[in-house]
Amino acid sequence: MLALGLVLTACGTADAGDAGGSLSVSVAEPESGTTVTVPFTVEIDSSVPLGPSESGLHHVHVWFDGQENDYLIVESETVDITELATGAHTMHVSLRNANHSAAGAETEIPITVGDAGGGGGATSDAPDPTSDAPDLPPPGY
Amino acid sequence: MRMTVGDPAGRRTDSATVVQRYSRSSRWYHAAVYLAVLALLGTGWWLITGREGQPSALSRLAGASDATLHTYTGWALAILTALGVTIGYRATSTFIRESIRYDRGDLRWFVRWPVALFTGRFARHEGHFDPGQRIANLLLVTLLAVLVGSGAGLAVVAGGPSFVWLQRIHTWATYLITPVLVGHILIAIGVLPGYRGVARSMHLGGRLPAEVARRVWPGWLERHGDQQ
Repeated sequence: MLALGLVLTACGTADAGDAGGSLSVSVAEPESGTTVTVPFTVEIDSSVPLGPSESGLHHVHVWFDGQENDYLIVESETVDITELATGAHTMHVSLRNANHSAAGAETEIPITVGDAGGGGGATSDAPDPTSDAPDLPPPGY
Repeated sequence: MRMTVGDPAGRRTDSATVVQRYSRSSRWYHAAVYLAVLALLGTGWWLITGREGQPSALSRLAGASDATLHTYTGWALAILTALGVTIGYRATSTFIRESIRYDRGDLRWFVRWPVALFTGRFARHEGHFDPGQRIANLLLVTLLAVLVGSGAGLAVVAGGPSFVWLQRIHTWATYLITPVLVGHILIAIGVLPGYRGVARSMHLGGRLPAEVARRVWPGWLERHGDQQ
């Protein structure tokens, strides 16, 4: 058992698909502070290729408003968010190893979901930091 | 320890006699292992069926994602395994020795088994475990060892080609162990008439009616009943 652990530890990180440099992840779309209407597409910029867990590649977990256990798995550069309550949200994006452990790169951006009838599309409408966010129901994405 | 209750005439009856088949430490160890395995089976199938990211009832209760819960419970099972082969070395040796034994007449036990599941009229065998139980034990131990080993590998090897192979092994071992565990649980909870009452050997003080032991483990009862 101990021997198995040592062998696995020895080959662990070198086998993780990390190119050796520091990992990074960011949100290309929507921009921070944007007002969007559901559905909208999130475009992710990652320093490593993304893919399904079965491929051994990294992937990304996306969740909203601190609900870290309730997340979307993103295995490519884009994901569609089809359900999210109207109002202000914080979108968290975390780069994950194939085994779902945190890879050490994450980011978060504020976004606001506007009414569907409000014209649609994303607008660079930075929220007023002094305004109170309304009480929101849990996001249902 | 065998506890007996005499009938008014002073004779001991099987229905009133109980035998202790497992020690307290064995029963607690078994309970710890199966609680861990059930949690792993539940979260594991939750993940295999593509529901990762949607918290299960267990995940909500524990306040951790199913993947995290699965990983931590897997480490707990690995620790239990290590304790079993170190502190519990003697019990583990007996378990393995009794699981690989073969006696003349065991094949006859298998021939009669499908009907005996419902009638309780098993062919006699001499083992601590019945012949079917021995095969189930070996399958369970082997597959659990594969799952613990590959699971530890998945937790440590974060990705890459080794991860891919470990995940395949882990997934296939899950497919294989699931029906064995389901069969073990069906037999243990006594749903099948032939095995009714066997759950008491591992629960509620481990005092098993002697008539149940005579039906399922006759050779063991004769050897150990007299020693108690």
